[in-house]
Amino acid sequence: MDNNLRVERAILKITQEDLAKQVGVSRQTINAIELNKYVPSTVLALKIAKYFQKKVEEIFYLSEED
Amino acid sequence: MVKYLFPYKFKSVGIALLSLGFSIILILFFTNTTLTIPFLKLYDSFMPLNEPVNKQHFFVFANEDVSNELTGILMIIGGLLATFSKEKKEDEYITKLRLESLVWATFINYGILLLLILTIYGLDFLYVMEVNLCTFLLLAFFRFNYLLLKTKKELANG
Repeated sequence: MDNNLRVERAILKITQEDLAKQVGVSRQTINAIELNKYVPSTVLALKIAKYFQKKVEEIFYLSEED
Repeated sequence: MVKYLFPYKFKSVGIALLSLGFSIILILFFTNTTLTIPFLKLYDSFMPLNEPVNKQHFFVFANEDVSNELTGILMIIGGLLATFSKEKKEDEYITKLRLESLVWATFINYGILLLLILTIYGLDFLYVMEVNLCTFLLLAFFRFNYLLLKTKKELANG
């Protein structure tokens, strides 16, 4: 699964730390998601999408390996 | 999220107990001393020659070297607290790292044990069993904290 979390973050000009606080996880988790090392749970993906006021599919999408 | 974790503050308690246990092991090993004290035993199979064979040996006080018991308890309780306490910010990714460390520790621990079963025989194997009591927890603890450190390093680089 790929994501454009880094881009979305850049648009709002917020840091990983800010986003982590907003959705209630550690900074490592946001970093691991951006590096495609960790696929978040559905709950976390929904929380992130809610924060950016977008649909989950606009931030997270299937990659070729999936 | 995993429910059965100790609060974060117990992690440092666990590390302190592990260090204490390990220090005692090293001191006893290098000074060649024992910690022999009278100890209540549930059952003692040792029978002195002048006693009748059928005498009960339950709940007896006997001088016993308790260094194994002491260090074993310290290492097990310390290992459990250190490995199974929450992190400061415990979330789903941290939980995943802990579970992965447990799988890794299981394979490594039993891999080494298999090798030792095939190479160490007789009473010497008792030492292997003693050490093996806490190696699983130690492996899981070090692997988990290595992974945590790695993710923090990635933060510094990114």
